[in-house]
Amino acid sequence: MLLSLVAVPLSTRAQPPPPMPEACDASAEFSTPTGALDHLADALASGKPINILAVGSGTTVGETNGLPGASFPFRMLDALRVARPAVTFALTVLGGRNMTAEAMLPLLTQAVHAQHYPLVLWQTATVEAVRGMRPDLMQAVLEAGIDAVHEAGGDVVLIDPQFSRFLRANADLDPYEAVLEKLAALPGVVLFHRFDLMRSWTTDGHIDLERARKADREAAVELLNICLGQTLARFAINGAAVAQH
Amino acid sequence: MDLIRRGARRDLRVDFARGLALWWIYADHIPGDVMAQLSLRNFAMCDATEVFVLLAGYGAALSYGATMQRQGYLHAAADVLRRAWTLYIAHIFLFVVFTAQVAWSAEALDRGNYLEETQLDILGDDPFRGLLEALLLRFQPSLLNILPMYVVLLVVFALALPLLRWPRLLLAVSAVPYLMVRITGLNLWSWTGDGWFFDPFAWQFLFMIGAVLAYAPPRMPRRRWPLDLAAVAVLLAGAFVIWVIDEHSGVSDRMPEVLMRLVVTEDKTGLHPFRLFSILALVWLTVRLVPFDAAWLRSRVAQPFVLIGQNSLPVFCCGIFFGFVARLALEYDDGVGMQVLANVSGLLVMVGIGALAAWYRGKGRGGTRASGALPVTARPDTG
Repeated sequence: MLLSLVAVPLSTRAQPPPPMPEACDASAEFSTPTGALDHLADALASGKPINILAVGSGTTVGETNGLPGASFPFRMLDALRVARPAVTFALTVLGGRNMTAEAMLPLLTQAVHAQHYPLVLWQTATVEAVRGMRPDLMQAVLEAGIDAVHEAGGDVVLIDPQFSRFLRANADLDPYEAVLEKLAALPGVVLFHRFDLMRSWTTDGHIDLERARKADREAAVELLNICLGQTLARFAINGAAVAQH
Repeated sequence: MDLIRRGARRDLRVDFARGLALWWIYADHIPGDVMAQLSLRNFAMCDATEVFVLLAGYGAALSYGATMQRQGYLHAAADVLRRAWTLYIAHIFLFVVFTAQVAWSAEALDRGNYLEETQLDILGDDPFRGLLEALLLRFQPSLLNILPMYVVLLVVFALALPLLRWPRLLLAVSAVPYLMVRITGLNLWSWTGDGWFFDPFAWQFLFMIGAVLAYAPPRMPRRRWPLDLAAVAVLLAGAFVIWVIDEHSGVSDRMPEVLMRLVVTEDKTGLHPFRLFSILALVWLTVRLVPFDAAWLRSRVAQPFVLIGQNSLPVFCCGIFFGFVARLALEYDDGVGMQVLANVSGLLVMVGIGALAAWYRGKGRGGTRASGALPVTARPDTG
């Protein structure tokens, strides 16, 4: 950390992302977005403070599998600050447990109208899948939110449900995942594959909340949020890098 | 006794396609199943649901249309309603099994704090309301949304039966609610407040198209190449869209946003026209490429699918039921061994149930007649 402080480069581009704990190892595809994050790239190049907005349900705000202030968006913020020490980052987290995309939409539009967010994280689809709600209506809501973010000069990173055997076995995630995939084909929208990423960690045996012993659970939750945050930070930086070339 | 029904007029292509659709539905209903990567939805802008509904309409018109010709409307409509009732009971049975599975699964995984965003355990959260809404078909857990639509489609079909004699009128009347759905978003009420997952007002149109294809098969046009071309174009467009969305490959960035918006608005709930045209294109190309009496339909590979296609209601229900077991198995371990086991045993169970249902049917008819040349229209075959 000290080293990176000493070696603050003039350009913020060349700085490599911070080393991740071994447990966070994952295939490079998870930190490689399929599209460019133009607005984030511009903001990084300008050197001005960058506001990041994270909207989501329980896991984003830290009510499920985390603590408020220690959920994965905050861990992403930590990682970004290490990766780009010359840039000032600020994070706003909105949403809450059991919230659908529809319930989040007014929070999101209000926020992007009030302040400039070059990067907006939108974690959704779990509640819709669990309740068996209509995927096409969820899509319409997400499109409205994406439009609002774009108009306000930001990029959207959609984040899909967390991996859970219980969720996979008892809800039909596919139609909702398909909506997120479709929207990620739009310019200025990318999808962070949290489900597959977390599944890869459970397959490797690194992080598996559903099978963690009670005594180990707290540590596992913390590690999960750190790893998600760090991968997400790499994902964002890579998305900005694509835009620059 | 030959378990597979044949006959000079029996279209084995329909049975085979229906069997294939049932197998795809089984795989698509098991989240995490690798076989689901090979089902129709990965290649076309429609999936097994469209095949199933179209052929359900086809089967219903063949069977109840014949009853109507022989015994009159009342007899036929009564039979359709009895079938709808059977489907309703089957759905409620599967619902009970599903809620039990959720409870067991939650217990087994000791999910504790892991997933508080669930309203899956409705019997725990709000049992009375949950049961009532399930009985009213207004609460449909995910993966249990095809049968409720099918029940409604059959009730509508009971009313529409007389119109089979005027196929153009039937299609025109049926197109009205479909267009209403596309324009106004008309849907039935659901507990979640946003309407049914499969909107019956839209899907009845596909069912009626299937019914008309069976009851009053349109004459083949003299010039067929324009339709060949159109069908290939629709399917290629669908495959391209799926490829762009799945692979990105930078293609989507180079396409105009207006076009991309149009492409991604496709929805299954209201049977988006792209989906409707895709299934019709598939039907046309199947008719063009597979002759009525194609020898391979009688081959060993095709026969299991023909068999399950001919007994679709029991196979469908057992497929959903066994899908629950397979889901729990994959929840426990989704490695290669379990994947193979879940898929092979699932297919075996479906074929077994198909054979059993065929045996029961044959038994009811005095056994030996099952292999005879009874016209297909004489048998109820609507599941």
